[in-house]
Amino acid sequence: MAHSVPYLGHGVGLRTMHFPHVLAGTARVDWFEAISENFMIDGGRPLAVLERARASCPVVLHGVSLSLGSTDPLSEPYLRALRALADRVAPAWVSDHLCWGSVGGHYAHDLLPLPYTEEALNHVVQRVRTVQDRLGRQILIENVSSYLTFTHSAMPEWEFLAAVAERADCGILLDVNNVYVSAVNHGFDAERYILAVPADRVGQIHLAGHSHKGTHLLDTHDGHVAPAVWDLYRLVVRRCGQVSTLVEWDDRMPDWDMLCAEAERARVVEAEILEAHAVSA
Amino acid sequence: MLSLRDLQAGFLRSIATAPGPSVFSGIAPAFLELVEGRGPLGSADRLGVYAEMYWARLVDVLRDDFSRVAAILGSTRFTALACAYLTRHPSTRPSVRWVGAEFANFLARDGAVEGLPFLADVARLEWTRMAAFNAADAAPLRVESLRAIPPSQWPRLTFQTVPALHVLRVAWPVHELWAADDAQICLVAGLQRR
Repeated sequence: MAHSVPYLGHGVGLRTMHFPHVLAGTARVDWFEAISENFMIDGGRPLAVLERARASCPVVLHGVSLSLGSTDPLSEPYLRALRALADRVAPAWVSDHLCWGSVGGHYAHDLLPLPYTEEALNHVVQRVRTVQDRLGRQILIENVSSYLTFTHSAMPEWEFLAAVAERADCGILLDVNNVYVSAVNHGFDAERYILAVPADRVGQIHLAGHSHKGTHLLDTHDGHVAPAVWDLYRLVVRRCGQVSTLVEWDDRMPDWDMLCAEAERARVVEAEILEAHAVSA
Repeated sequence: MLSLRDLQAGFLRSIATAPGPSVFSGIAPAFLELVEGRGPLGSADRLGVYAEMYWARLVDVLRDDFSRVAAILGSTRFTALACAYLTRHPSTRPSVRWVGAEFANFLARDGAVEGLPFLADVARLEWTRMAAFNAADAAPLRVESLRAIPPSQWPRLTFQTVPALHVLRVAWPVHELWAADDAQICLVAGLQRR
């Protein structure tokens, strides 16, 4: 069974800076992505904003703490809180990252890279299945930006990602900027990665800006989507067709209009590709 | 071959042992052999990217959660103290929101700063304010609801506070420091530095 989630159009991340727009009813977008952990609280303004957003458009929950690749047991309180939040918000889908973030009970609060081995593959597949059972729904897993790879990895990241998705029967959140950042940092071909991802499992796309650090690229989410990343997005649309797309912007925040303009740009790029596709077909 | 668990333990030890400019001192040479070192970044540099991000991110979280403590200490001293805290109290919960849970206690004991005995109370106030903001919503008692209760039942009435209400007992008038502007904060910090 492939993954199937609805097509929501072009959305933006629900961030504190834009809460006043949401509360005033002036935040008009196709959909919002909310960071799950920011709303795992008992009450207060963030939850009020989330419910208001939910009343106006679809919302999806995107987590950063599931630690799918960790060898520690899954955190029961976290799974319960995520399930409760999902029951309350009724998101279009729930996602987290293909990485690990804790060991021995010590959390790094980062998206740390896995070695791409059979051992890690079996482990992650089992974890994704368990999470899907506990949440009572399929999840989407996202490829992360990375700054190192392991010498004993037995397969490239795209094969690992595809194998996890197929064997655990989950969806993929394809972060195009992360593919590009990792491709530059590790010297692989970003297009090859995109072409190897199982198209029928891609349920969401992330676009974001990154920073040049001289020796490497850093996934900073602090600016416009780079031209090379737009090109990769075109390739994804050619390959996968319409996929819900979200612009992430988390630092050096733009005002609301500028953020929406970036999402609009994604809409235009998608339309151009689909039109050209229809003409040539 | 190294198990996934040992690899993860070695990775985290490498990036989370020694903060600041000495980020590379926590990296075990044997672990470096597991990391590809091709291209402009060597193995140690690549782990260093993660080490720098680890400390920078968590110190930033503490700086946001304890902005008055940070203002009183100034950036350099706050960073050093935050790193000492994180070494002593690594994060143990999935959400980053709890990283600073022990910071006030740390400032009261191991992390006490000479000449600033009120710092722990400032931290306590900042932490408690956050707890109040995230507390469960509750409808405040209205006088009409009270009127609707027949007087015969009044002797058995008890009042319950809303979840956002916290009582904080402090030894210093830290609410004044909390409300102070940056110039006043500088004065307090300056007095201490002299």
